[in-house]
Amino acid sequence: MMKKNKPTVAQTLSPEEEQAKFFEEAKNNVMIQGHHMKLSLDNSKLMDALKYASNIINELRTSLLSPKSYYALYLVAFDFLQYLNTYLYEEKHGKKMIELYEVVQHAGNVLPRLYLLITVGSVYIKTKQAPAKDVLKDLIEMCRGVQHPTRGLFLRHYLSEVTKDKLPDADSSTENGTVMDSIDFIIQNFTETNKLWVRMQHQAPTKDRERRENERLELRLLVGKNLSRLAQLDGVDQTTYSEVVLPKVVEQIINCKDKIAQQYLMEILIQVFPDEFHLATLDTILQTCAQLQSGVDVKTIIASLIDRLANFATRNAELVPDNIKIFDIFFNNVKEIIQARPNMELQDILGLHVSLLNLTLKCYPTNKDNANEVLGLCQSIIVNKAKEDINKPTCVKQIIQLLQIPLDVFKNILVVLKLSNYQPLISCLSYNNRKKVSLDIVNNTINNSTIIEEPEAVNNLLETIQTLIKDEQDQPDMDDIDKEDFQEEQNKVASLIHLFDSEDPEKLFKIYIIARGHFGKGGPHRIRHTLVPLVFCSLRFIRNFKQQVDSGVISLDESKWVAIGSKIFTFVSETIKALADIKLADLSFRLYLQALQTFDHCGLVSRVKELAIKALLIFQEDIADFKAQVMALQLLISTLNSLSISNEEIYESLAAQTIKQASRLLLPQDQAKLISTCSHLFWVDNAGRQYQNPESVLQALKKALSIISNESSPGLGTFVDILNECLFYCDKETDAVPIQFVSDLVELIRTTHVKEADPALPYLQNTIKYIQSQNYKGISI
Amino acid sequence: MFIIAIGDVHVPHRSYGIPPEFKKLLVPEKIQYILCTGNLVSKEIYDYFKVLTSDVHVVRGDLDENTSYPDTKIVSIGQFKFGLCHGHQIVPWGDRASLAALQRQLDVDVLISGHTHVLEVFESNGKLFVNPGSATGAFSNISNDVIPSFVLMDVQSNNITVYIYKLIDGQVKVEKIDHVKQQ
Repeated sequence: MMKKNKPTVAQTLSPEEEQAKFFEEAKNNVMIQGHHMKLSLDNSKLMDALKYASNIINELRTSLLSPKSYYALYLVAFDFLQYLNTYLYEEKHGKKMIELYEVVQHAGNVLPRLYLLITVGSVYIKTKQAPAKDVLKDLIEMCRGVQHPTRGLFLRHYLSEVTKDKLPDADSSTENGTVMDSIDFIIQNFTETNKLWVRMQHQAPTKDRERRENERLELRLLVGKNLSRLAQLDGVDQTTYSEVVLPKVVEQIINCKDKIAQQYLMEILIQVFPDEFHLATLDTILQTCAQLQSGVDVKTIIASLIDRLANFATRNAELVPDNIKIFDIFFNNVKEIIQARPNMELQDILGLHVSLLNLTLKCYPTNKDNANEVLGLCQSIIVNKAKEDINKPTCVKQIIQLLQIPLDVFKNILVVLKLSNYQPLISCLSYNNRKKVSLDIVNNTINNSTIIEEPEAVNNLLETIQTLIKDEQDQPDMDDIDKEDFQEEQNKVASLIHLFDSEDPEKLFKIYIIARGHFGKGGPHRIRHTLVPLVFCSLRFIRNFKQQVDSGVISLDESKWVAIGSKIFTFVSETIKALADIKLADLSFRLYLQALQTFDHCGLVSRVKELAIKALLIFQEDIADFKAQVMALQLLISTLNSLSISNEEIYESLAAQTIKQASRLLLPQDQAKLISTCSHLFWVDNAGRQYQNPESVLQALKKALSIISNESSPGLGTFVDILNECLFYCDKETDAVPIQFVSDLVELIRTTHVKEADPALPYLQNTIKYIQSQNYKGISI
Repeated sequence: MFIIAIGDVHVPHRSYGIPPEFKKLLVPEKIQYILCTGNLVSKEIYDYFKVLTSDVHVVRGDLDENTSYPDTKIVSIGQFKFGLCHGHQIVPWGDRASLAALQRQLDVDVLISGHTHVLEVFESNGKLFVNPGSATGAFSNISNDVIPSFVLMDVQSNNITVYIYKLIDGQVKVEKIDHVKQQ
């Protein structure tokens, strides 16, 4: 045997450099011994070769190397042993296996002896000179001789590696051994390997704990491979797995009480065995999880199992036996696990809920009860947790996910609202998060154009998103809220109303009343957005209703019609009043005008009068800005002109009041312009109404002209406006405006009021060209 | 050059959004101008138009609260002057003679107006008048049975090809009208 050089350590080397030095030395020795071994084999000197092989393995007796370096050294040695293995199998060295088996048992030290025995033993089996089961039994017993964790781990890895293709399987004859023998063999190796691996942890002093854990992790494959071997046996079918393999594996996992081993082995177990096996033994696996050490990340194990099985079940629904209720098994076990582990992090608990929810929606997409149970469990757990814990970003994110997933999957808020635990879960969140979820619900409804037909559902929906609809105790100050965001949110909420619809008018109106009830509580900042659509919806409602009555679709006698008209009028006018009361003068004025048009169209004349009076009152008292006054009055004029109202008394009174207001405007040019527009109040020629009073038309135009003419420096524009109004009446052959009047007006304009570079010059020129093109009889321009 | 004439959207007052069938057609790369007749009402609609093109012109409708939108606007594109006005100021609403007067006042080749929610394209005195209707088919006191619509104008030298888009029973129907500028 070669003398081993004592390693010399210089004082100035770092630990890494030291390791590298030891490794290099050991590796060199292995290479040299290996080289000699090969030479001996080439010369058929088997005994010499065995001695050299023994020397190689002696290097593996070292205690100087870290597990990582040992691994590297082991791999070098392994290659040489493979070479020997091949030689023993292929070469005609003449020796019987049983002889060789004897010879190698005389190696000086335990480790070389065992490595060589394993090497020879594997050839022994392969040449069928002895029953596999006997040799395997022998070898695995002898491996007990090495109790040092690192050396034992690698020795057993060598055993596993070298015997992997010699294990009796389903197709083997019983004298050679059955698959049960192989299972026993592997499980025994697995158990002992794991024990050694766990023992590594306790070898190190506490201050090196983290380093030791990392070193162990680097070697985890040595343990996990055993489970892979089990999975590779054909004879391990589902029954054998559930009855023989799993119980033994699980026993070792639980009993070793080591969190690193438990974490890793559970993950590997799930990975290497097929999903069908897991489905059949689901309860066992989950109950095992319940018994793992408290430091083990059970959530990750279970979540990955859920994901695998959810995917499996979705793709292979036919392979899932009916009696395996995947969701129920997971749900019940997870519930127990959470209870059994009071120190489990809330975010992990929530993570499990998210996995469960995804599971049921994937495997049982139409089953709402399962989803509801998950939400219910979550809510019951959260209710006992402190607010600071719930509000941690990771936890909040998952709660919101739980609320969002049903929205994304069902794409129908009506279905989601049927989950009784949905709303209670929302109320566990902080204000901003409740608002966020409510907005998600609104957006989901709008994006999917989900029509909501039942009053009860509308009520339910508005209650669920109440954080957006009214003030709540924990909401921030208005000053701290971004105004633009707030407006955008409220506009979204307001849009919702257009998705409330029913073919049944009674139901539909009931819906509007319910919505009004909810939105009415929103306060001035909200109702300015949310009540407006309600006004328009109810105007549309009564128009449609009237049409259905007129066409006979709905049969209704006159008094009933008036009663309904009355009801809706009250609804509309009170809703508009709510906006007027918070000083939204321009808006409520316009809404009164819109309502006016609707009730006019429906023939409810008294309501027209009432609404006009309300509009005029707002105009007089609340619209103070003079530009706003002009715009409002313009709108009033054009609205009155569009009416079908048959009651001349009421109409003329309104027309007179309008002209009066026009003459009171601040600027003379506005007065003139608007009074000339008022001429149209006296010429109504539309499908619903004919009302013509030519004298009043001319009177208005003359009055307008007189006002603007009396101005000290009047703009050209107003004159041209009046001129164009005259042309309107001429073109329609109304005889209201004598053509001479037009001619005189053009003369007046040209001589008195045309200024160079006046912006209205093109207007005038276009108008004159137009007059010329019309060739009016009696004048020439 | 492609111009979209669109308006009377009324979100959220009378509608919850522009129909997805229209949104699919309104592709940013293909539009250079948006001339909007007003009554958006919400800022969200304006922002949506701005995503489609940076050249967005809006006039104020009777229910728009944004005071920065003017009552009328004139935009020169190619050889044409476009006039834009919501139309609630015109008396009687939608009257062709009154619209013609506005065209004379603004001195434009094309007058785009709205308010009636009735899609209309006609020529008068050699000038083009366009009402793109309501993009959302919003309720109107003036017209029954409003259909969602908008207008696309393709301006090439002295010629405009007008495409009118209507959404009927979930299907988009398109019609074409040609207009040549009179000298």
